[in-house]
Amino acid sequence: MQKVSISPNELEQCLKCSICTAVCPVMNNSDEYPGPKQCGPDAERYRMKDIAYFDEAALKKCLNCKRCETACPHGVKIAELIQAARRDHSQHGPGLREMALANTDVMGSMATLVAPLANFGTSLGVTKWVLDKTVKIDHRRTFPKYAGTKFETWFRRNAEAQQSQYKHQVTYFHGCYVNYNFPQLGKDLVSVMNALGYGVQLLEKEKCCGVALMANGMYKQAKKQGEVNIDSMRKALKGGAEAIVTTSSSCTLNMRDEYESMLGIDQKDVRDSIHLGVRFICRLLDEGKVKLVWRKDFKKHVCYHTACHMARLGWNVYTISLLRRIPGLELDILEQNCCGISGTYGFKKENYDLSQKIGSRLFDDISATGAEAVVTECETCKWQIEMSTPLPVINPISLLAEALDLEATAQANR
Amino acid sequence: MKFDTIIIGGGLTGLVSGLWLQQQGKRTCIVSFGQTLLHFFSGSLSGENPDGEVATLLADAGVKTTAGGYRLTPLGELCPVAFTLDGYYHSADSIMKEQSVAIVRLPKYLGLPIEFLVDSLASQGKQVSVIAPEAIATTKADVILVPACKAGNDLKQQFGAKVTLVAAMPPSIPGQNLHAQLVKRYQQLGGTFIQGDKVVKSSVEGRRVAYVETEKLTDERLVADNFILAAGSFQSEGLQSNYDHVWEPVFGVDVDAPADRTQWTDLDFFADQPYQHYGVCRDAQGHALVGGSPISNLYPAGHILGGARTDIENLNEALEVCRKLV
Repeated sequence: MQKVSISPNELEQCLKCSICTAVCPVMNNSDEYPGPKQCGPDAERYRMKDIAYFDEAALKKCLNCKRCETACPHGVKIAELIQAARRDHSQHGPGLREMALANTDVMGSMATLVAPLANFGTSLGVTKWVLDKTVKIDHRRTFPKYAGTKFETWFRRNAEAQQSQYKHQVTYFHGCYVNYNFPQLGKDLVSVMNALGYGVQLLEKEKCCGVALMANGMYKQAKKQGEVNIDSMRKALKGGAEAIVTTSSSCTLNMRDEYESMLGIDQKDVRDSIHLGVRFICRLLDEGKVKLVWRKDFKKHVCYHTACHMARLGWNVYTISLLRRIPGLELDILEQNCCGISGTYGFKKENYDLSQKIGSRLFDDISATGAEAVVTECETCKWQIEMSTPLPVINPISLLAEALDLEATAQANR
Repeated sequence: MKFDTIIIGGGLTGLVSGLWLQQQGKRTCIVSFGQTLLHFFSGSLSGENPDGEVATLLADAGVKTTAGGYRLTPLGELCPVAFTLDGYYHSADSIMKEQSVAIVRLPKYLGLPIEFLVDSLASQGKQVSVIAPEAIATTKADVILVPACKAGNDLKQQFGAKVTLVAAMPPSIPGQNLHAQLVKRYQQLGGTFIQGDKVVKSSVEGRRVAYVETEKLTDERLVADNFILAAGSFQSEGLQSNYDHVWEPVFGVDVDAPADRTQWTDLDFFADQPYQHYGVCRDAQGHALVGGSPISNLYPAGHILGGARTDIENLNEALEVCRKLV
C-alpha cells in the first residue's frame, strides 16, 4: 500500500474542497473557464491516463496568477499542474505576437535605441489598429513607454565608479522593465542601498528572467536565459555580494521557485540569496545593522496592492512592515485581488475584456480609499492600474527613496 | 521578526484572537496556511449564549449580526444558532413564520439543492414556488430566498431587503466576505497577516517556544512571547493522521486519540464520528501538553481542541486565553 503522497505538485493532497475556485479571478468573471480545481488536479488524473483529455483551449484561460495555490489549504500546486500540462503537451507553437510580447529584452533593446519614435508609434491610434488587426494585440491597451537610455547604460556612466567605496556589496538583478522602461526605479534602488552603506553591482550577464517566455510557451529559451542568470549570480555571490537584490516580484518568484520546478535549473545554492529589496532592507533593520532617517516634511496617502506573485512569494509582510515605519505615510492595505493583466495575458485581444472585468473590483477598491498613489512591486500591475485608474503606481523602493532623508541616512550608516 | 503573540491559523478563532489582542495594544502576527474553514461557513455561528464580546468584536470590524434564533439550512431545516449575519435568512422561532416562500433559481447554478429545499418547506406546510430572477420584482411571496453565491449577492445588492440570502454549498460567499472584513480590520489595527504560508519549524527551549519558521519566509525567525495554536482540525491540517496515528504537526502536541485505528470511526456513516472529537491536550491553565508536560507559552484554541465544538465555545475560550496574554 502506498502510504505517502508521491505525485508531483502535491496532486494527491487535493481533497476537492473547491476553495481554489472561490479565489480564481478568471472563473469568477467568465463562464468559459472550468476553473483551477477542474483544470488542475481533477483533469491531471485523466491526463495521466490518456493525453487525449488535454484541453488546451481551457487551460489557456488560466492566467497563472497562482491565487489558487496561495489559497489551497493543502499545498497543492494547482497552477503548476496547469502550466506543466501546457508545457508538456501544447500542440501550438508561439506565434509572432507571443514572440514579440515575450521577448521583452530583445524588444526593449531595439525600442530604447529609437525610444521617442517607438513611444510615439505605440501611442498612435493607427499603430494600435494595425497591431490589433494583424497580431491581435488589443488596441485599447496602453503600451509601456520606453526610456531613451537603458538603466545599465546610466549605471555604467554615472554610478558604477562610486560603488567600490562601500564596505558591503549587493548585486542588483534589475529586470527588463527597469532596464528599458523605467530606469528611475533602478536609480532609486541604488540611492537607497548606497544610503544604507551598501554598494550596488550589476550581474556580469543579465538576461530577461523568462517569466513572459514561459507564459507564452517558449520554455527552451527561458531555460537558456535562466542558466545564464543563475551562473552570473553564483559568480557574484562568490565575488563577495551579500545578496542578489531585486525590485520585481514576478522575476523574483520565477527565479526562486519556477526555475527549478518548471525549467529544471539547479539553483538551490543561489535561491535563498535572491531577495526583493524590501525584504533585504527589512531584515537589516530587524538585525539592527542599518538605520533609517526619514524626511520631516514627508506626507502621503497610499494604498498597498499585493500583486498575485507577491502573494505567492509570501513576502508582502516585509513591504507592509517597512511602509508602516514611514512617519507621515497614511497606508491602506487593499483586499487581495488580481488586477487582471497577468503579464502579457491582458495584452491579447481575446483576453482584454476579461482582463478589465477581473481588475474592476481592485480598481473600485483603490478609488474608495481616496489615496493619491498605489504601491506595488509588480510592473505589469502598474501598467494595468495606471491605465485603468487615475492614480500613479509606485514601487515601495521608490517610495522609500522619496520618504528617506538620504543624506542623513547615509551619515547615520557611515 | 518579533511580536508579542504569534497566532498560527488565520480562521475565525485566529482572527478573533488577533483582533482582540491588537485592540489591547499588543503586536501580533497571524500565519495562515491557505484559506480557512470560513469557506464552509453557513452565515451563522453555532453555539449557545452568544458572548457579547464576540459580537462586539465582529461589529467593530463592520460585521452586522442578529443574535439568537434559527438559520435555514440548504436542505430546508431550521437549525438553532448563536447569531447570523444580517441579510441571511434568520427566524426568531423554530418554525418559519412566513407562509409563502419563493426560491430563486439562478441560471447554470447548481450550488443550492433547490428540490430538497422545496420538498422540505412544502412538508412544513409552506406554499413554495421556484422563480427566475426576472420574477423577483413582481412576486408576492412573504419571503424570497436567493442562494448566497456571487450572482445571488448581486441580486441582494439590487433588491435589498426584498430578498433574503440562504447559505448554499461551499465555497461560502458569507465566509469569504467575513474573512475579508476581519483581515482588513486586523490589518487596520496594525496586525501582521501572513497569507498562504506554513509554519514548518518550531524551536522549543526549556519548555518555552522560542520561535517558529515558515516555508516562504526562509531563514526568518518569527519570535514571540506567546503562541496561540489555532490551526484547525483535520481539514485545515492542524491535526494530521495516517494509518498509524493522529498527530499535531507543528509542535508535536499530545493528541487524545486512541492508538487503535478501528476506534477512530463508527461504521454507521451517519453516527457521531469519534475522530471528529479528537483534539490536542492542554493543562488546566490552557497550556499545550507535549509528552505529558506543559509548554509554558503555547496555547491551543479553536477546532484543534476537537472539531465537534461549537463556534461560540471556541471563541469564548480563545478570548479567555487572550486575557492571560495582556
